[in-house]
Amino acid sequence: MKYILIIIIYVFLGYQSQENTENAIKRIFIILPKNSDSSSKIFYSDKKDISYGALIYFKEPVYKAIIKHTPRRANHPEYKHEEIDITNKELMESTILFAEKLTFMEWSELEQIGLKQKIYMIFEEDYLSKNRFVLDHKFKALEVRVTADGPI
Amino acid sequence: MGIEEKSRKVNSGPTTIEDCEFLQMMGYDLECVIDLFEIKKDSTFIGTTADCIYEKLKSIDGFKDLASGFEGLGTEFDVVLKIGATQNASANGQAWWRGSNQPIEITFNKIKMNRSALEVARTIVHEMVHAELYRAINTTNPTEKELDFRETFNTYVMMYRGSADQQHNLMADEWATKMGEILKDVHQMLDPEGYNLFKTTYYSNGIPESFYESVAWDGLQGTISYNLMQLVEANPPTLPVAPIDRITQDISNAQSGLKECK
Repeated sequence: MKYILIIIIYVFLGYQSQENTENAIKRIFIILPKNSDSSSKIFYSDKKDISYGALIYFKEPVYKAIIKHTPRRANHPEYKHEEIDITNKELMESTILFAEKLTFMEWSELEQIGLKQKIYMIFEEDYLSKNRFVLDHKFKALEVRVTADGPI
Repeated sequence: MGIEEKSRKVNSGPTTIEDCEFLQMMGYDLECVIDLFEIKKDSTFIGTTADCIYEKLKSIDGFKDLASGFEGLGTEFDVVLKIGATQNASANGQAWWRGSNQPIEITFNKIKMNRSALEVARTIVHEMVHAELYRAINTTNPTEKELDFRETFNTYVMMYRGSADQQHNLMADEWATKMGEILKDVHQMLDPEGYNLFKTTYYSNGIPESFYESVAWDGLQGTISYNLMQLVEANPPTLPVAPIDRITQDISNAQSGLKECK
């Protein structure tokens, strides 16, 4: 009887753990091209050790989104974004979004999500490089702030 | 100047301090308080960072000129400032003309107030320009200057569909530089330490005037003037950076400014 009880408890805990894993919030990674052409949809710019990010424009000119990483070494009083290394396996368990494909409404949603959980970006040139086939390769992911603005 | 009558209602109140003092001499129990502005604040606005920024803007000459059309008792139109939901959930702010018998309502989007103080100042100035345009178009006692303005505005009405397009195109042509000047004058007042940090970080040679004009251009994308600017390419050494590249970078930098108003 005692052993049956232990088995029941073990199965119950195992089920709870699986449920928790499924309900756990997936990390979000945005794949961003380093495109510095201001006439294109995504305009990337960086200032070494200060900020790295992009402005994204849409068909309606007054709509824009900004994605920006402000590293800790910038000593910004309000933004101290982290850099993390992430493996392919971890990425597979996360949500991957391509910046070029996101609509304005999706950026707006990301802005709200970003108030509750961290969002990261990975540069496209890194994500699509041949290193992605290397076992245990780690991608550098930068925590970002996302904003999306409509008309003023 | 506007005079606030404290204790006795009269049908047509005094509009100058001299009128008020005259009535006091005649025995009316009045307190003559000079109120520079008849721009009212909703309870949602009072005490917020936006309120602090607005109070700083009030000391800027350019902003005072902009708001002067709403000054004084007896002005045709009032403006109400509030923070809440905008018609377009993505908008930073909106100015709503509700007819000649209602105050012009300027609403700042509650979920967009988490911006740098300079960006919030830009939104306040932008919406005030909209309110001023509504006032100038609809006043029943136009000055000669306002009549000239109406003629200009009619040209924009004929050229562009939608009041937003008309006003934004006029704003781009006539107001962008003035708006930039107001922002330049108020920036350091918002948070002196934050200003110095921003300057040191992004513009170590000093913040150029063009930065503030760039910030003023935000929200005017899609106007004819903006579209024409996009055609201008860099031409070193006279034009080291294309105007649009500079504006884009400046707008991005402005976003990293501090949020405080002290």
